Amino acid sequence: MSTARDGGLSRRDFLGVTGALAGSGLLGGAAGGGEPPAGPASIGPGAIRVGLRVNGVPRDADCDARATLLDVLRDGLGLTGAKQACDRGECGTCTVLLDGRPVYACMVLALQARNREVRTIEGLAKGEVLHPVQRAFVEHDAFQCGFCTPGQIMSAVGLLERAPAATPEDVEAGMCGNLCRCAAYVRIRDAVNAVAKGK
Amino acid sequence: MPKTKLRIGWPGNFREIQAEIPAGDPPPWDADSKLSVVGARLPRVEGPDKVTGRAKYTSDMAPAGMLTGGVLRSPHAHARATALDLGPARKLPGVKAALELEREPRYAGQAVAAVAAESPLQAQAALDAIVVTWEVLPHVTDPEEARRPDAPRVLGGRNPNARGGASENAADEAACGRALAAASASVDLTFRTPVVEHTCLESHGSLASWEGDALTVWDSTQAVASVRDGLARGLQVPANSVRVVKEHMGGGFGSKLGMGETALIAARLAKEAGRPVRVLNDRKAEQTTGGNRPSSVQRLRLGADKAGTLSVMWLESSGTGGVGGGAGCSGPFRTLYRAGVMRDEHTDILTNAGRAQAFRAPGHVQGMFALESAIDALAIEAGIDPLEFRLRNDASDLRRAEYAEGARRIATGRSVRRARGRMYRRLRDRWTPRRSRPGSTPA
Ligand code: FES
Ligand code: FES
Repeated sequence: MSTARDGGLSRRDFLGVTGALAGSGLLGGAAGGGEPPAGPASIGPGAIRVGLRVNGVPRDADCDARATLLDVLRDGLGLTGAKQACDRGECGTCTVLLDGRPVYACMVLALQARNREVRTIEGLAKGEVLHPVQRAFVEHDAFQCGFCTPGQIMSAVGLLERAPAATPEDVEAGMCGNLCRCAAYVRIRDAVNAVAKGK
Repeated sequence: MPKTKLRIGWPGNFREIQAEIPAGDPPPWDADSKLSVVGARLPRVEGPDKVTGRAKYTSDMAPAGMLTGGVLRSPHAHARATALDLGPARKLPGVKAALELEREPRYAGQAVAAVAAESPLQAQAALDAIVVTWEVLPHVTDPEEARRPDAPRVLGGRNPNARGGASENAADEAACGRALAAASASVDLTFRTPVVEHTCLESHGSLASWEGDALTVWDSTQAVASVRDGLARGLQVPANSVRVVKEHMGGGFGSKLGMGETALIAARLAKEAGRPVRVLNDRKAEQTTGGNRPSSVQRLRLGADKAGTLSVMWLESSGTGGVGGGAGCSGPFRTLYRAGVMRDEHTDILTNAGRAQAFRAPGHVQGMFALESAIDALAIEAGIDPLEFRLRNDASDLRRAEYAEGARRIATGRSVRRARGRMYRRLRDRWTPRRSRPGSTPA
């Protein structure tokens, strides 16, 4: 029931495509009449089911075809750790790991995440035992309001899993996609450097 | 009242005072108090909640049965809705409440109508279905234009766009002019600062829920009491029937000190729908209506005598906080230095733009930037090191001690060693041989 190709389709492309389809009447409804249209035209408006693997657990969610991964995590699955601040890929508060890579969940369609591995802040600690990056954030007081913190931590985890020996320069580059409006940057950098093995 | 002896001050400058402490109050802290928490390195109590995503912000709250609120906002800086029909929105599936809020908005982004629906997409569809016909009215968004006598009146009627004057006890302009002419060094500089937005990562937002006549509102606020009072006033209900909850908040910076408009909108929608309603500003609404720091234009004329003592200070300022006031920025001017002849005058200018809100010591950011830049320039003009100039002219013993301590630490590198990172080393390397003049590009 979907047109989402694997990868290579951004949310903006997608919205552009549906806009164009609606304009040409291909989306069916009033303009089409008669035969139900085939192929891409069957997108929406009803809910579709997306199967996700979230923090190692298969989860189903019913959502609109336009829903982002962030919408589904927060509204569909009640995982509110990833935050929405800008909803346009500029701030990083919605960062989660998709197949191990940090992504802005507000810029990924839920459909694109089907059958892929999603990891969120909720899956990081083992019971009450914090992940080393989480512990470092507490020890270094790397936040004030904490709203950017889940995104910062997921970016750091993604970076350090890819590059455990990240140098301070790697950390600066790897963390530059996450804004902190409270400006805890120096402490965030210290916390991530404390976990990174590179010197 | 019982008196208590306290030792207060700072290293090298302690003194004893007798303080009156109301009976029953705990003894105040002084320099000799042994403190186990203040000054200690302690992890934040809420740290584990914030690093695990367990901390719940208003925008995370979603009780069963909650509806999503949406707000229709004015696309015009000033306009009148000659037609505003919520009927088509009400008929759409999932729509449970609709409210008219304002037919003559005076800034772009001002709330015009609101709806509550089962899902965000249904709420958006309902906003799109509202029929509104706008008659665009005269407006002014540029503060200089707003000052002209023929400019459209921002608040309508006879309300002037520009208001202000000289402060009490200000010297007159002629006296300032004479003192400037007599000064051995003087500067005449104009500084401009733009409107700045708070940009809290968590936007203003509220979740309202009624049980009978009792209202509970979860609000992204810095001041639960002011939201409770605002709701009680706005809804004409007793304050003790309103409960406002905030556990965590994603930034406020002053913009969340008063009640934001989402609280009242959510409460009214929830009443009509008979269900909890959450209203969150989207990013655009947050940037246009969530508050801002007013702009400023500050002309500073300063003069010093041969000894490097300030003899005259004259500040002429203006600024706009949109449809709200509060653009004054003379706080630092009035409190940091003294001169024999002083004058400050300010004009607050209304424009058709979102209302200013408190922002990190209102007025001081703009005021400090201009004043301290001008002091630097005057020091150079007088041929005196800018730090030395401040030590001569600052009447505060404490601040002079701080300047001296700061200079000592920078010179000896003590704070540099403690602060980690290249940034600090770079700063030190630039600072030590200070050869730049104010206004020049750092080497
Ligand atoms: S909310 Fe996704 S990047 Fe800002
Ligand atoms: S801690 Fe507040 S935005 Fe980063």
